Amino acid sequence: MSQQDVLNQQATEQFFDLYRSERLQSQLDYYEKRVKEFTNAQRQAIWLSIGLVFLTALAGAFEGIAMSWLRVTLLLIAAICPILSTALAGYTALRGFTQQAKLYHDARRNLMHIHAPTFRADQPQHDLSNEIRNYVNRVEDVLQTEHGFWGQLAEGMTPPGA
Amino acid sequence: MDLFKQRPRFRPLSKEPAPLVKDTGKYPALAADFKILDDVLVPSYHKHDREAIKLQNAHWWTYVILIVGGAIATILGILQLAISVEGIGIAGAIIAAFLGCATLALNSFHYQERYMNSRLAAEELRGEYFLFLGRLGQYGEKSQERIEALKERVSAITEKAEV
Repeated sequence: MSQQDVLNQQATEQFFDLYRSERLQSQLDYYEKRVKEFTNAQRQAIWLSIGLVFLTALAGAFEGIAMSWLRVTLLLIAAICPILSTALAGYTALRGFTQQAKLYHDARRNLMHIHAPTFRADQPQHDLSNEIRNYVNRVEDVLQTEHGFWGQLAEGMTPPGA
Repeated sequence: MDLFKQRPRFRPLSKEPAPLVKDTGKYPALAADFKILDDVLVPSYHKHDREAIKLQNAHWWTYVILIVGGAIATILGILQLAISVEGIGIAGAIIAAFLGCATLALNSFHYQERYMNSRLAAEELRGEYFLFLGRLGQYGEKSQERIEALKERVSAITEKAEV
């Protein structure tokens, strides 16, 4: 093997390490973090919304109380909570938590289905380069598809009535 | 609380832009290519990445102002009916003016469209960064030709984002 071949092989192997850690793994970590965050956010939004509806119902149920100041307060709560709930729905629609979590979850799953090539010590440089090329192309295809979907999704992420 | 974790911020940009590869010293065989990329591609990447963060933040601000402002204006209307105080009417008018400005900004500055263009350009540049390091695609040619190909690609992506 010539000195140039050794240098080429080193560069190829280092690129493969770099690509797996800095491109693929960093993207997988990003997707995982986002899926968790958006799933939690959606759950919190639902609970907060339920809480507001519950408060409205509670305030409505007790508004028959005789004390005038308490009655006014309960009526205000009954009127304000649905407004806050609507604002929360608008914010949730703006962020599109469910759709984004699904998009990132799918992209992560597709990336994890791509098997990394394994190398043998006696493998010719040409075969090594070809296997890496195919692997990188498959990963980049998944990432480009995700970017395409993400662009379409972002277009639709506007609050109701906006 | 994850619900409000990615909220609009007053200072959305970090002081130092995050590098594309954290420790380039671990890959000595690629040192020459890192240098070329730092000169040709990385400045454009950071420009679009930071632009995308700023525009996304502006987009969020305008919508959050509209959502929260709309809710506050309605609440003030209810309060005005319940407890008739003159100050509430004035506060309502100020908020309505803010909402008008936010709507105008939303329709005039096209934050979301520009944000998406910048984000997609930054992500495309990030992809090219790794293709160049791997001498893949159009970067498999001889040294000078691949540098020219990289310059052309960066220029094409940047132009596309700015149209």
